[in-house]
Amino acid sequence: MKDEYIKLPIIKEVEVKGYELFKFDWKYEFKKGLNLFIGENRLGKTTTVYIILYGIVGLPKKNKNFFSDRVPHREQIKGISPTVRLKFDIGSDRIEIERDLFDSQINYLSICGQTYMKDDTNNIEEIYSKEIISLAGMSSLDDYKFLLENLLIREEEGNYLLWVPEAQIRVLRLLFNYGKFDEEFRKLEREVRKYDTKVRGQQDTQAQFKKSLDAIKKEKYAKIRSMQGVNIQKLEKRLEVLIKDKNKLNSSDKSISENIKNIEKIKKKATQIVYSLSNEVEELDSKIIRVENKFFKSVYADPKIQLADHKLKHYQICMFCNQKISSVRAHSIVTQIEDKKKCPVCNSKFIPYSKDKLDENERQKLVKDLVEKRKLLIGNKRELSQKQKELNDLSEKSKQLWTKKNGIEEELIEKFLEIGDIELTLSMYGTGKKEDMAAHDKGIMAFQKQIDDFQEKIDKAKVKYKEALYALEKKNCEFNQLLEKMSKALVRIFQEYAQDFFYDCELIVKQRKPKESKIKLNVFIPKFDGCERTFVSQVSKSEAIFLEYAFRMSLCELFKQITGNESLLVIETSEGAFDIGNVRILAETISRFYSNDSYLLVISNLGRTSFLRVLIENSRQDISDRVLNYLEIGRLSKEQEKDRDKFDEILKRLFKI
Amino acid sequence: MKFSNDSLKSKIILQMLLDNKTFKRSNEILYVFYSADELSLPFLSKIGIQKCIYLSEILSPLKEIILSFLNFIYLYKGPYSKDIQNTLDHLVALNGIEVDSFSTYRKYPYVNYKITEAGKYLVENLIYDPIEEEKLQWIRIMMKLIDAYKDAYGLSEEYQGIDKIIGLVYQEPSFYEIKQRSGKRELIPIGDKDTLTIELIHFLEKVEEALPPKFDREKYKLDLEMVLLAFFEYLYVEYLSKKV
Repeated sequence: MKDEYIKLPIIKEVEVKGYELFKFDWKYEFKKGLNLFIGENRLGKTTTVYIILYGIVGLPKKNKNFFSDRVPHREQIKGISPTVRLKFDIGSDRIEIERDLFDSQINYLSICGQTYMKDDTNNIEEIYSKEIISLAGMSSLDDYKFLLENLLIREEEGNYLLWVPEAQIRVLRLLFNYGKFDEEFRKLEREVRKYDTKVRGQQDTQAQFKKSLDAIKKEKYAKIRSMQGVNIQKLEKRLEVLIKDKNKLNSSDKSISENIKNIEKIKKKATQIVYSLSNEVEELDSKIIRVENKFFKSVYADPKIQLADHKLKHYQICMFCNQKISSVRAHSIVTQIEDKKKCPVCNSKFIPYSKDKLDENERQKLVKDLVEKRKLLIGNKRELSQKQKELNDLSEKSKQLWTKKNGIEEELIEKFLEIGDIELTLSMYGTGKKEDMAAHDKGIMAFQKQIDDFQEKIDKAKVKYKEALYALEKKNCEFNQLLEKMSKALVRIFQEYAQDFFYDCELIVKQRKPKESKIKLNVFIPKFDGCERTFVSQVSKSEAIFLEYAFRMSLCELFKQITGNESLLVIETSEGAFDIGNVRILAETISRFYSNDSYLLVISNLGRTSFLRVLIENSRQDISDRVLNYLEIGRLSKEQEKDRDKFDEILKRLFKI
Repeated sequence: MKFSNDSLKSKIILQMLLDNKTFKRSNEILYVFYSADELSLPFLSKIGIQKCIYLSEILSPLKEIILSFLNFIYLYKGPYSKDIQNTLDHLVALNGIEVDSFSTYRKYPYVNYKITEAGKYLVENLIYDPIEEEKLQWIRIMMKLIDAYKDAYGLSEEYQGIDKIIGLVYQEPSFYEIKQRSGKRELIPIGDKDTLTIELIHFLEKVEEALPPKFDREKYKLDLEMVLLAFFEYLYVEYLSKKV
């Protein structure tokens, strides 16, 4: 049975090397009973608490630089980083671990008889986590961390387990984690939360639709109200007329569209004809000019140039002046005329006389051709002009039809709008045809359908939610029964601790509903002077601190009683909040815990020597090897150095006793 | 530079059109000289030929004939086309017409031209084409009228021969309108059917409609020649009325 419970770590030894916060490397061996870390403020007492905590569970990723940020020289010196080496027991197993303080990595690990070195093992963190979970009987290393942070280590300004229900309940569940109870409980909680979120999400969406539905209904009713006195019969008659008109217009529109289509077809053909005729006319015109030119050239053909050329070529004599010219000049002119066939004066093109000259028959033939072509041209031009006129007429007709069509379409739109309006009005009175249901009703229907669909989904999710909730309640009942069994013992232990400070303080079980929880959970709250102290604000600071210590010590003691497993409780005391009388009572109460052979580490400053004196008096053991003196290992400020003698005197007096 | 096919084609067509215009202008000038020769007019002066062609052109829409001198501009001394002068000189080079006399006064040349036998031969060949023959016919009518009116009493006494016609040209409505309106150089509208000149002609054509019913309309219906005669008469009357 005892094996079903978790095992808490008992820290046996802590050794810090190379950490600049301290003057020296130091090592401390924990012993059963009281262990005392004392010193002035800012010498590293709280940091030591973290060194122990993170030595076991490692630094969280977001807080990787936690230790390096606390010292001025953060860089590693010659590749050597500050380290913490912890020895702790989980049950009968001894674990030895060394971590790099600057990056939280494990350098060395000895667990279950196996030794691992960082350089030789890739997954050293994984091995450590797996082995610790297995040895401690936890679900995850995070659970272990949670217990250390919330139960076993209490910093000076730490949290209150008594008044934070979610932390208290989880600590209780983890501590008495019979058969991995907490893991199953949290799984059920997640399930409940999942379905709750689903229900809420769907309810939110449904609410949006409801809002839209309300808005559209409001709009509809407003319209109905504004339509008081509408004559339904008159509207129905008007609707009938409009529908007839609409049908008539539709058929006219269709017929006009058909006409336009036909005309456009004819127009296209006519355009092609006109285009082709225009081309023909143009071509014919050009042909006629060519023939005319041939005819004119034949008429105007003049042998004068050829004669002049001949005279220049063979006699070098200018025919016009009858003068002899140089053979070079003559040759140049002849070349220009004969070879280049260009005028020697203006350089324009010459056509040889022989080519232009036509005989009688040829000329008559040419004129005949010319006359025929002109006739053809006249015919073509006439046809072109006729086709052009036809095309223009068609275009005009098409234009008129388009105008008419546009008019009909405009009229149709007006009719449609009026029909729509009347149908809307009639549908509001429930007289419209079903298929003509007005836009408002369609909207209402659509939104209602969405709301109904979502309701179905919500109902389904709610069923799931209720099922999950029931399972959770059941699990909680199971835990409550367990709690009930051990609550008597806890209350008794607690009362023993509390009796020094309070006359009638007891622990009672109360149902509270933590923020994230969907069910009410049983938590312990203190009650004294006849009042339940549900909230921390209902007690004084010293009362709160005292009750918190008492509660944690009670839990550790109960855990030890039930499971037979021990643990080291670390308390960084806040005795400053107590007056002289009460500080002694606090010390007496704490002494009660370690007097039962429990491991306790008290971290304290030298502010209240009476507190320390009582602790030391009650320890009944030689305290000298159970003290870590921060005045020796810590780096003292100038002021602290000045007061060093005074501090030493206090310590001397304390330990003398 | 290489031309694309299209560009080359359009160049050829353009040249073809220019050639055609040059030929037609030469033809029309030859017809004027040919008609003058038929009327036994010994020669035509630079000024005279401009006036003959102008009247033939501006009245051509009546016969639906297209002549090729369209760019007459208004000058104080009368309508003038530089194309006529250039074509005249070209025709001299072609031996179609010859220079009868040439003199200069200050920088202005005074030249009289007459048709050559070769020119007459050219015309006789050109009229193988019916359209060319039609043009000749039209110009023949115009020259007959011009010849008839050159000797009208009191007309442009400072000029001689055909040149006397200048007095009538000044009264021609299209020219006269510019003279009255601005008197500045501008293109005279020619070839259109809606010029002031043609408007006047149409007015003359409708004279028969204004005749009293007792007149035999067929008998008094004016043919083209009569209309043109009426037009010249109008110009002459106008000339005289302004002279007085």
